[in-house]
Amino acid sequence: MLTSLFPNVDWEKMWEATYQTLYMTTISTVITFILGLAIGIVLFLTSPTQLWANKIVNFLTNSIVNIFRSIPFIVLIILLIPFTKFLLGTIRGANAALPALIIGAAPFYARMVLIALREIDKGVIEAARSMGAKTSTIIWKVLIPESLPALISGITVTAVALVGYTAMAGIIGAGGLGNSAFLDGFQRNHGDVTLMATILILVVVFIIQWIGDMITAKTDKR
Amino acid sequence: MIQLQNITKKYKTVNGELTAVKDVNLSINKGEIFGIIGYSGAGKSTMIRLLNGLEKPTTGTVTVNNQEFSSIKGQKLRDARQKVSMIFQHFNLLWSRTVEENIAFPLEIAGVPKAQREARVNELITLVGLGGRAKAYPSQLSGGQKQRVGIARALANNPEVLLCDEATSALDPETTDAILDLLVDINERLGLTIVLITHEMHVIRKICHRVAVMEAGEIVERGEVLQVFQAPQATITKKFVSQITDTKETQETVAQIKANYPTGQLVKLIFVGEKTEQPVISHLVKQFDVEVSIVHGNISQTKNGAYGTLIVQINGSKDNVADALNYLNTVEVQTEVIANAN
Amino acid sequence: MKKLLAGLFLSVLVLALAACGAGKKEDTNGTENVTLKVGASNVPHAVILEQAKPILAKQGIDLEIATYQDYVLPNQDLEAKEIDANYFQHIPYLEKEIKDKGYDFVNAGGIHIEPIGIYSKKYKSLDDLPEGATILLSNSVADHGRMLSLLEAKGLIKLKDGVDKTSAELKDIEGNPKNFKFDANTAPEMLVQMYENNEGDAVLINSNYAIDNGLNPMEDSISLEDKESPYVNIITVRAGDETKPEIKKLVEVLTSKEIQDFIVKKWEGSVVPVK
Repeated sequence: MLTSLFPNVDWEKMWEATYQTLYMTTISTVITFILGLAIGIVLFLTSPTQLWANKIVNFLTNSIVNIFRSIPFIVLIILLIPFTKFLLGTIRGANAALPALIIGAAPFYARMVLIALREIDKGVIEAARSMGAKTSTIIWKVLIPESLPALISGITVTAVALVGYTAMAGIIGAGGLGNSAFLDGFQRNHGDVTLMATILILVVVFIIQWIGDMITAKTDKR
Repeated sequence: MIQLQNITKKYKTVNGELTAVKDVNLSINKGEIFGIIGYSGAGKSTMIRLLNGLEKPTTGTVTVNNQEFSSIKGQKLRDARQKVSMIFQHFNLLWSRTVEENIAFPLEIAGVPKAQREARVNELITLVGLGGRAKAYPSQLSGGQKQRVGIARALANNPEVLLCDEATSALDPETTDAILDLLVDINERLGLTIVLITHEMHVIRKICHRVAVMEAGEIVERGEVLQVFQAPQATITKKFVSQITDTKETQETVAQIKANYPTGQLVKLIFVGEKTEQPVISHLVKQFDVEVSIVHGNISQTKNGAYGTLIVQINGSKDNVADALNYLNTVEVQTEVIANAN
Repeated sequence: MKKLLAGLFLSVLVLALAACGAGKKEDTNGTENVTLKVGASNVPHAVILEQAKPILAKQGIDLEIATYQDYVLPNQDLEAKEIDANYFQHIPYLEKEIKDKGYDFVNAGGIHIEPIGIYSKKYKSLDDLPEGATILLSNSVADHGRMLSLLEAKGLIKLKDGVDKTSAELKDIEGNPKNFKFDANTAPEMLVQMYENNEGDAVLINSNYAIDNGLNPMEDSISLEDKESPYVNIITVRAGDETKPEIKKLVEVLTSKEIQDFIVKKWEGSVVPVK
């Protein structure tokens, strides 16, 4: 039945593209989460009135975040070619897309982390200090747990954005559903392929959102 | 237990330099419950934060439990803080942790192993009266319950000093009383030194041994609570004391009374401690041939005894009334003439 | 007073417009200027058009050049009448586009050929390519016919009998004696990057992208497509427009000696003008 509705779809290629999209999205989301969280924590703690208040570090970190956030993703892929080659030994394929995906998304997520941390009641941090907690304890046992719902919903938004970015990674041979929609669908004038690829992308996004919402609700004890 | 010497704290603000605490000297004894009262902006929050190093003085030294909090840093400071705990007006519990996990937090910081942590947490839950709520989250608790968690948490590492930052200001009167009772209980059972800041005199009245009154960064009056109540010197102290005794209602009543009892002397009598129990009024009548009408009365409890005020109208001849008043002074009842009729 | 000022203002406006109109008429010996919007790839197409622009201006044609990064939008925009002509594709590609998308376009004239080159940083000649070597092609399937024909012409593979060479695909490869691996996942504009970064053993690169990125197909490739190739780059217009005087003039100028000499001089054989 599906083959009659979608006559031009090469199902094997479509599943491979789905796998590539999931692969790129999952790995870049995980690393973005870690990197973005670290940067966001630095941004937060170096703000005036916080534990590591430092105007210079804060300014520099903010600037780097703003710069990388502003570079269009396609340009980022190209700019990072030497770095990617150095790191991974190749600039082709799904793995080669990861540096650009991560370096593009991490600053975006770092901003969301900063917003989440700012929402934490200052009194709670003060209480932790009064109990003799050191900064690493405050980071792991106060900052992160107390802002967890916002951190999770933030990474969910980022993951969905990353799915969009992976579509562009097709130019370096990373494959993926977005690439299929464009090349196999649009360029070859096979509307059904474009449609199928788009439907699959939607399914991926819905699943990501659903998982994100579920975890956010579970971690919110307020 | 606690010594503050020549403490001054200045802040730089957009409008110039702000002096929050001005040349304060203070000494707090082991095992006492010491209150600091003042209106908002008087410098009390800064004062109490000097005691655990959350604020460092611009000049002067702060010594608590033999640790110079004004100068130690790093791990030394963090270790010292385990013995000087704090509870807060808005409780400051971690909403992501259950009651027992919140209480366990300082124990985790101190590196106490799991089994011991669990045992201690259970002890504390019983101590503060939260039995059965160990697995609840703060969002499921009432204000009073949250403050109990705060207290349990503060006691986890067996501190020598407990600092209370407006701990009852966000609670209703009944819950406030319950919490204050708990603090007294802990003070008596564990010998814990307690320093509290508040803007409510009834808190000071109910549980403090001594009090310091702060205004604009300075301590304008200090002493034993009963004494300060009896004989407030500074204007601001009088204002605070009248929070308890002369409520606005009372003052209105007195005006009304003056109108209704135009003859004789309206006198306010102040009874302190045991004197409140003695039949002073009947002696007055029997001995001095005056008529005494009781117009208004009020009595409150402090740590060191009862404190009562009585407004009476004494009618009689000038001489008799004068003798009566003299008598009152000999039996250590303070008198204050409110109005002379003639 | 107000009416007087309004009247004065209006007359000034009218006079100014008339003067402009008159001025316009003056610089085109009697006829009005025609604007021609042409969509083109960057190199060499847009460069050639730039060279032709002043020549066309003297003939009363105002040439506007719109550059495109891809191979799909120029035809889309031509159909949508956003542009009047495009100059980026060769005949087989145009035929495929017409077949696939039903465009009503016509070839208004062939201008030049850009031979496809095979590039390799690792090997100096096609014979040096080892067993199992990886060869990179663009992911534009429309290019595959040409690329595979080239590989066949150079003796590296054999295509199935009866296959239309211009639309051959990877699945049409029958003979592959050296067991080459073909990777056709990279976008054409990224092929030079792949070559520069030593990806794969050999890379087939369209000349316009090669030149764009500073490569010289004549010198840098290890093998180059023949000049006899059917892959002439043409001016494409909507059916019927090929008879318009400005289109005819455009083709005329682009195939004039002046422009052809320019092409040869500038690209030294990497771009070859059509006779």
